[in-house]
Amino acid sequence: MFSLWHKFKLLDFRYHLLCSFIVHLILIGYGRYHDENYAVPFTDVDYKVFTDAARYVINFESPYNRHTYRYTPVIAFLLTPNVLYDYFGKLLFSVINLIVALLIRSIVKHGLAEFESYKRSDENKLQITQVVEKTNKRRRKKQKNSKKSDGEISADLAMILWLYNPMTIAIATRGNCDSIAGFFVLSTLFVLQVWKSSFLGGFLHGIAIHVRLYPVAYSLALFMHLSKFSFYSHNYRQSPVTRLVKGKHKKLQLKGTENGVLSVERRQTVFKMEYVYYLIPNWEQFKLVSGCMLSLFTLTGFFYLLYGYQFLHETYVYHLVRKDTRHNFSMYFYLQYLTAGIKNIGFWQKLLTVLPQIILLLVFSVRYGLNKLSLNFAFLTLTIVMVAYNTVLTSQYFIWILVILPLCVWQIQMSKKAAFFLITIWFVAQAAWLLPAYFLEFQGHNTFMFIWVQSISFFCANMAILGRIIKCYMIGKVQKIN
Amino acid sequence: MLKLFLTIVTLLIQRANGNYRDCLNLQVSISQKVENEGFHREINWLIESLELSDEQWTHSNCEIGLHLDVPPEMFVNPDEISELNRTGQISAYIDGYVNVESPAYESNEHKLYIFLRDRDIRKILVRLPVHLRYQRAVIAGGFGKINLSKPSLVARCPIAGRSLCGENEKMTAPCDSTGVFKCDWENVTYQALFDEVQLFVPIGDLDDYPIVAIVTLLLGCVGSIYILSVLSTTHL
Repeated sequence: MFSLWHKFKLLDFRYHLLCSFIVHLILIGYGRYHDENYAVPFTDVDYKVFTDAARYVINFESPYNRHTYRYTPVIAFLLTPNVLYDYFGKLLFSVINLIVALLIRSIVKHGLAEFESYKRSDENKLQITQVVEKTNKRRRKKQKNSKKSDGEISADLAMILWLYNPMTIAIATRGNCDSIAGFFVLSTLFVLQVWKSSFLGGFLHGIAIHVRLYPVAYSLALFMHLSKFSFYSHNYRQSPVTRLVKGKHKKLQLKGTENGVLSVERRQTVFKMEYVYYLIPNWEQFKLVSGCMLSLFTLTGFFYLLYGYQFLHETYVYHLVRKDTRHNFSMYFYLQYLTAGIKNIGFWQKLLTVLPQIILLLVFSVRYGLNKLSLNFAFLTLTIVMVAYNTVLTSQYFIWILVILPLCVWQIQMSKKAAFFLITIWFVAQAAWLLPAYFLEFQGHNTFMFIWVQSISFFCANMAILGRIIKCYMIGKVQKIN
Repeated sequence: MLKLFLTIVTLLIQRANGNYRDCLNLQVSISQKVENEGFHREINWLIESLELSDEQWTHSNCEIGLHLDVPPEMFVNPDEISELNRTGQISAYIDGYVNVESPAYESNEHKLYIFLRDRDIRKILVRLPVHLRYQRAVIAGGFGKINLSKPSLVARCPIAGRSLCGENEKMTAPCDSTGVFKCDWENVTYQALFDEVQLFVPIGDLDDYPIVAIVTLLLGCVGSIYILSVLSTTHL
């Protein structure tokens, strides 16, 4: 079993892409058969909405003439061939899945290479733990005869995690467009980290926000990543050189970046007033913001001119003001339901619903955004917070996490047993929610209270997992020396 | 000779139309059964007419349909109906705006027309999926009631000279599932082999509000504090 897995890992990444694509094709074919023969369709409800919207676009009409079309017109434009070939969209989403896999592989590979070069740099005081060294030695022995390096294996593993994930395959082959937003989010990360192009990164980030609103929460982390105050690791910040700099308030040149030089004026720990300075943009940050504004406003303005306010309402305003009080995974659902229709909801309730989330989003953006090696991890933590604290939470939102998670797997140093335990907790918490939800929705039992209790457990599970991930982030790879 | 020929032709025409000179007596009975529990139900109607033969009905070129007033507490999903229309499982048209997400107190009623053209009137089975809406939470919770009204049976005979028996109430409704054209229909009485039904849907208990509000909001804060404490004890 182990050797089979080992061989599987060592397969060339192109075989994995091909295998996954075949699986996608089989499922697209099965979906066709299923839809024709079963009452409950395999295809996502929205897929038909896309096709109908595309039909309107072909007839030079607004895609919003199709009720419940609440996406950017870009989707309807992209899926115009659907009118003739109704499987085109599913094929497109499957291909996007493969491109996302390639992006994951490239980003992880680059991240590992950057980390390796950083480890080798003289200025840092990193110490690789003996445990990791031993593991690496064992790995090297095993892979003596293989053509793949450690980095490539880790990158391929991250890619495999996405390529063979049943949820991602199901989402694409059922015709859900969520992988498109994921594609733009990963493209942003790729361009910023691998190509080091701030303007293009910002441009892609703008498109990502245009496609789906949620990537807007990544903006601060991206901004911080390009800050001249950004650093590589905690002990790097605490190094004697840094203290000297801090004391003299003098600009110094330090080694440790990809081009060998890092400008450092002052580095601070979390929760300091000096963070205000971090918000003053440098040239790279200016390029990022202008790229983002350019694509976001161009696309939004263009479609506003074409389709008017209806476009703004259906694509953005609807999602912002949406109040869906029906049961869902969010722990806020029952509170929202009980207070639905009440106009004078207390200020404290509104504040306490949004404040914890905003605090965490800000802290994660600054803390992990400022670390050059942990931008992907910043995205992961931000996404988990967004999902866990969302007032409406359905399974669809988990894809946001699944896109980012493979990027950080190599950074989360957790035993297989612990990882398995956390995954089990997550699924058990979901299953425990599904049971009372089934009795409410399909059996008509009044189980609101039980669903709420289970949504509380699911929230706790999410927080526990997030806490654990943070604790295991880069531990074992980097150890502070005092 | 000509007189004889005209007499024979007249007799033949009268014979051919013999069945239709008299009005068409539908004599329909309908039984109703609501299946499933919870928020997603299925209404089954069995429409039977033992008076008419299939041949009589087919040659009459008349058609029947059902008209249902859907109350605000429930809805018929337009997407589901269009899919059923597409697959030929039903031929129906929804008159009115349907928001599938809104709760009962923010929704309006809508009308549903089901067209039963080219069906054997002796026995027609109609299945209609309906969904119940969330109702406003009340003190002590429990279940909310929804009164499901009886459907109206409508009929029309588009070919001139053919009509339905009795004085029926006239109404204007869509001709078919496209809803583009309007037709004159007659509201036909039928024998209902069922009573008016009340459906029940779970509703939230406002007595839970204090505990739910305190625990939910506090837990949101505790979660945040826990993560911040983890951050403060771990380094980058």
